[in-house]
Amino acid sequence: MNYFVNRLLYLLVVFVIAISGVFVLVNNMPGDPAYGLAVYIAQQRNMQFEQALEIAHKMMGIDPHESVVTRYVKFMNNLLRGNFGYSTFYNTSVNEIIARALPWTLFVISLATFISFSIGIYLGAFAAQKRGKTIDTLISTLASIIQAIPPFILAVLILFVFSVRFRLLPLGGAYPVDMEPSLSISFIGKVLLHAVGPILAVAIPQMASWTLSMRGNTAQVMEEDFIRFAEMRGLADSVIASKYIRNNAMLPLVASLAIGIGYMLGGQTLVESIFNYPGIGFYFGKAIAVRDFGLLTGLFSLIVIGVIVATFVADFVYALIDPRVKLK
Amino acid sequence: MSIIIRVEDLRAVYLVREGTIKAADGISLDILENSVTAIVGESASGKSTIIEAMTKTLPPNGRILSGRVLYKGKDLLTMREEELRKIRWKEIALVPQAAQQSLNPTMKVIEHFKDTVEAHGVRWSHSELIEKASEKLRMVRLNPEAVLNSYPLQLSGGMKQRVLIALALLLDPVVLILDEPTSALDVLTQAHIIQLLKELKKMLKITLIFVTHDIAVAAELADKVAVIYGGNLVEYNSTFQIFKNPLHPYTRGLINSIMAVNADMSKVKPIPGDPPSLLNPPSGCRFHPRCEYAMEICKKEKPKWIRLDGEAHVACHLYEEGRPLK
Repeated sequence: MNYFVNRLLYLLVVFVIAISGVFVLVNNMPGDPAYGLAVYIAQQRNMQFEQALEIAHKMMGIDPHESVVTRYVKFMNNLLRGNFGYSTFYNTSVNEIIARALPWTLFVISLATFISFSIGIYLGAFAAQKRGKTIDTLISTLASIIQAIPPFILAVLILFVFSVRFRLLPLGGAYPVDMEPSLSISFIGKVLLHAVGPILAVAIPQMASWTLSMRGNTAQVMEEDFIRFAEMRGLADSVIASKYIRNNAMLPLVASLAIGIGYMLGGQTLVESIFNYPGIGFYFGKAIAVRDFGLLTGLFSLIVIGVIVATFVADFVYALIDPRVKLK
Repeated sequence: MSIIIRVEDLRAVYLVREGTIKAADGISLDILENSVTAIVGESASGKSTIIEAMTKTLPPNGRILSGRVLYKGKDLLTMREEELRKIRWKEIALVPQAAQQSLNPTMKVIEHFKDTVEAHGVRWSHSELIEKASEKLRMVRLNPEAVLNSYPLQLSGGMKQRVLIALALLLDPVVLILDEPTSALDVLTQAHIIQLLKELKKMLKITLIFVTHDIAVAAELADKVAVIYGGNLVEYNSTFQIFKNPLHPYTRGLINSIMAVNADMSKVKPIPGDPPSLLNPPSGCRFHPRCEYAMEICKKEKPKWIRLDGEAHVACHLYEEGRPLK
């Protein structure tokens, strides 16, 4: 129990530091974050720019005469109440954009991670057990090459081959524009089909790196004395392979799994942009392109929170499955 | 007493980058039923290799070149893997030297007992398992309730060693082999384990074979002592005879090098020279470069394993030529 309280306090400190970092970064960016919105308002309502800027400041809840400290307190206060700010480009609260985008990102990431992890674990353990044989060399070499491919290159490749050339996959989006979201089989089918591209682009390099880590861990565990002792006790190979080798080799990977999901919340900006997939990464890319400071800050904060929550989950899961952590 | 395990001309090597390590070179040994046999030798003399080759549990780079290990008339070395798997632990249990890392760190002690039982198709209910495991743990003077629900990291080194022994006794094996049961432990825990093995010997009908570099431990526990030098067996005799009248020059050196608390330091004589490299062992008798009685023939010919009167076996040219050590 003590362990969790410690971890929680630690992550709280990390949270404050990281979020403050986001604030300082955005606060020190050149230009007025309301500038873009003010230009838009001035054009729309045909009014003076100064007036429009004032309106824009009000809409975004910015007081240009405020001190940095007051702004910081306001920002933190808002965030703690779950208010992620205002997007000038989309003219809506960031919370709304997150509500719209997060499910897509979580959907793609969790599926991609689940698929790549399951296959990677299996391939890695298999390769380690065939160490030195041709099949192991083949798997490890391929995995090393694939691991090095950046997901966005793969995304372009998939888009070109499967969508443009063979027309097997849709060109982009999360579902066809002419379809109303519903729970019908045909709609779900379309959603899955649209997710194939982003999932593959994210999952393939990941799978390769899971394979390599699992292979290394398995090979290491296989050298352990407790494996030989299990053989001496006459245990069946299948029991040794699962309860003794795989369980121990997988432990460190489960922790990286949770942290990885946290990082990927914002890490797939390019993949989502390429597939025009309306997830967090897509909006993140957009916010950078149009200099939407409000959206940028909001999404940044979300990613920070995501990583911190994932780290905590990782610690928790690790302690749950590894008695060495819990008991120390 | 009848012979329970007969080892005939066992040869085992380890393959390493530099060549082959000839760790057990032509070992022949009869183990008597319900006796305690100690295999004594310096570190890296091939002691562990003998027992691991006997049970076919050598590390991956170990190879058995020749020999037979007869147990109840069957050769363990040529037996089918599945048949051997069933004999392991149920009839012949081996407690390895690395007791500290021999338990799965992510499993509770009780689970080790459970999967051992399951591996041998023994149908015990959970309460039966707890009962039997507790009985064995009490036998090694551990508190069953506390230990069974512990993870290995919660146990001390001595406790882990005793858990392994309890685990080895679980299925009431006929033969229990222990590799350095007392090394890597502090002196008090060592004394504890020795005491424990003595009690087991009295309590159970069991054949004990143990490997040690500590000839004092052998004197304490064993009925018979086999002395190994550089991968060769050099002497095999009853413990009493080994200490009273060591036949081989190496055995004599070994006994002279024991330091008792009240010993006269000037009488303690270390054996001159270094243990041989098993990668390129000396020609002839492997002990000849360190032997004060070495003759011309010792450099050329490997001495035969000969039986003298009684239980005594020795491999030394002095005895082949009828010029025993005085």
